[in-house]
Amino acid sequence: MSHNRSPRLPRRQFLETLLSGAGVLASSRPWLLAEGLPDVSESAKRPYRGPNVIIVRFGGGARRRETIEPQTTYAPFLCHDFVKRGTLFPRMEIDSFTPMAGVDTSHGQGTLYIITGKYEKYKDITNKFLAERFESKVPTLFEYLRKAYDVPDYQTLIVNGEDRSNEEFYTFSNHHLYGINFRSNTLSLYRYKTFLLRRAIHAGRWAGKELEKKQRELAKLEAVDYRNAEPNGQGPELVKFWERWREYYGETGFVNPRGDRLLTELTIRAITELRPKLLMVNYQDCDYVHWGNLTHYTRAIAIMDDGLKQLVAAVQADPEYRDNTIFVVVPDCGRDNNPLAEVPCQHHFNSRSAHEIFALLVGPGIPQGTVVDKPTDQISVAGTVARLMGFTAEHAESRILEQAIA
Amino acid sequence: MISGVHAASLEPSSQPATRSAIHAPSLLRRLLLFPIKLVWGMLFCQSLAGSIFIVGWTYRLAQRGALKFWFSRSARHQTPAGFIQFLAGDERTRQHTHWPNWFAQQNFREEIGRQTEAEAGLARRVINMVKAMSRSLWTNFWVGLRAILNSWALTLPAGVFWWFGWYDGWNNSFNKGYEQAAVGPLVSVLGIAWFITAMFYVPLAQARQAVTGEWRSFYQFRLIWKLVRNRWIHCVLLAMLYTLLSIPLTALKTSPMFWMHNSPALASLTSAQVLAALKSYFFWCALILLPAFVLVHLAAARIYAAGLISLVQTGKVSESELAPGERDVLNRLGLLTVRPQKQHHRFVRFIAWTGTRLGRAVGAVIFVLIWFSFVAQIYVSQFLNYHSGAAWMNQPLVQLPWFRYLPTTVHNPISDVFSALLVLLMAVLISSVVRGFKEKRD
Repeated sequence: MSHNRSPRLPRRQFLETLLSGAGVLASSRPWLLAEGLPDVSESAKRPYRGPNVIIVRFGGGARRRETIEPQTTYAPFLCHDFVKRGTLFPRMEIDSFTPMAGVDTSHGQGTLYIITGKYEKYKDITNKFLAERFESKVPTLFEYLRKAYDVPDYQTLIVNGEDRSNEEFYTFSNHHLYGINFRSNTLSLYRYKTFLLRRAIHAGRWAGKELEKKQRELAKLEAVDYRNAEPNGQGPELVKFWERWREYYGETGFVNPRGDRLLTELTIRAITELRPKLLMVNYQDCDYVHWGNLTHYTRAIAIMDDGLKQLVAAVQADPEYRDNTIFVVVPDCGRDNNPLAEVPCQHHFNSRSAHEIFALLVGPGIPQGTVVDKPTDQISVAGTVARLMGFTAEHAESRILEQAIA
Repeated sequence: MISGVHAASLEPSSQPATRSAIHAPSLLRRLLLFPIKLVWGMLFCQSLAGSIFIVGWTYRLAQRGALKFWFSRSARHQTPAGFIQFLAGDERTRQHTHWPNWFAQQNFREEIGRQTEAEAGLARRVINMVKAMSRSLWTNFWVGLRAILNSWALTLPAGVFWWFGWYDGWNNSFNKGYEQAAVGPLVSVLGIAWFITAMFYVPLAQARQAVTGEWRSFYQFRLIWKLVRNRWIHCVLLAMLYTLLSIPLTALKTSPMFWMHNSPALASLTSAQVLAALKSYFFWCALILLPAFVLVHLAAARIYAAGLISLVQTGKVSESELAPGERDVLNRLGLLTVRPQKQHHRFVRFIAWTGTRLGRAVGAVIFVLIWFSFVAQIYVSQFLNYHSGAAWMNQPLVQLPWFRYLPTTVHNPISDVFSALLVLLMAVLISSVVRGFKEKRD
């Protein structure tokens, strides 16, 4: 497999990694580790040979008007070029099948709707102000895939933004038949910072009280992902990934790309180095429009669009991915069209416009240049991806986007 | 000096004193006129230029309020001759026998009657009639303009800092400019600190300017600071009044954002319909704003008036520090007397001193917290429903009672600025022409 193409881990790093794992094993919460024991049935699973899927969350929160409507778009690649290569669902909506009270049109929720194929009235589990930490009761696409096929966690990835640590943990559900054993992994600055701190502690950078302070910081960072005891950081493959990132971009955070451009870079590197089968990139910077500067919204759409263009180019440049990768572009939610407000683009009021999104599927087996001009729903995406990848998402919405499957 | 502006001053007028009797208007007349005057005030709240007239009108009312307070503290209060008679007794206070007018000259009927007797020519009578019809409008504008210029001098920088801090803070978040991460928040903190510091001073400075009718008196820092220290508990209560009255206004300002939540059909309104709906809404909002604006300024004037008597009568402020008009009124009321202070025991004085010091320190902390809560409302409101620069730079209770937050998609705010400039230009032009005629005649 292509993940073997990664540079070899130096012996010294390997020993450090091993020691760090042993240390965490000795000190961490054993009950959490018990949840993470390897699934006994894993060895019997088939290798995955289907198409790779890259889900582009065109978020956080984008209206049709600025994305897929040609006269007003800020996403020229998506609108004028990419739609011609696949099937567009311009009338997709959130919660249209059997509207239920309390389904929020927001980012964390929208992400979970996309990857679980089911609406839930999500409630923050931490009871902290604006924490928005949600846990899904039904499995995610990553869990379905990993349960059905022999796919390692580092090949099922969520690429996440730096300002949304609450969205770091959609990697697995609380479902008793799935859960942590089938989790995906995450690439984000939060993970990189945790990696750096862990690494520096093990390298003996600090001693005495300073060391204790740094250990507390690390414990705090690790505790954020409390369901997931990571005895070896994020596992050797991601440790190596972050080592290469560190060698290239350093530790300051001032060299690497920022904002949604960072997500593009992480995704391209992940494609090259980790060879993901299922990857979701959670673009988010549109959401800065909340603070009153409308250009944050339109600029973010243009940056996402450019990111999408780069991802497509990266896939096209890779022989293993070129004709074997499906792109699914779908916003987490729409935005308001509130004429009474100076900045009309909120999304928390469950307005019609905040429910109106779109989806574009491009890749092998998907009709090209097709526009499906009829109502569809966001939770149909999960079942469609499952069908395209060859597994069953039994807890997801069964009405899938049939028109996207040739 | 531009003509007409002395109408709000307590300075001696160049016009000869009249001897005609003035009576308080009947209750029926007041009841009939009140809604009309209120509606005019609400209309003035709808534009930048109009709100300047309201400031002027409110300052004139505050001046009257201070006179009334001083009268109530004088021995004349006990005599049969009431407040109206006291005011009517001198040309300099005669204008305050009634509440200020929006348009017509104070004591309009008496004035017209007097001029009719004196002037024979038709042209002169017409000119005088026009002048009398618009004298208060003229005065309200110039008093208001001077008032807001002074208030802006101390408070506008804070609004600009808030605006820039907000813009740069989130711009920085968007661009992830870690290297400049501190700029936006620091500018905001500077703005908040600036505003709170200014608000230790501004309310009583505004009151002093209103009561004396002199714009320069706004900058008598030593005297005003003495007043603040003397009335610090009242200043804390005034700050509380500001922040409490700001709560409904903040809710009203933010409210349109949430209308669509209850009525999704609003999303399909045309620009003209949006404009009409919001204009109507903000017109009725003035029903809350206008009384609130007047109330805080009347309260400040009362605190000022009480503080000034206290300082004068304890010898902490000399007669020479008073404005001539104030000196004259206090003299007429017999309030310009330094009263001997009762000598307490040394221990009692020490306790009082420490208590006052401690009290002032605690009061300052509470004061800061109260004004911070006022600022917090601005930030929360902007977070919930962003209104760009105008909502940062103009706080209707402190500066201009201009309360109309229309989205720029349906109304360009620059047109309000141009309208205000046009009004200013016209006022300057008229003033120059009138002055030219007077100089020619003399």
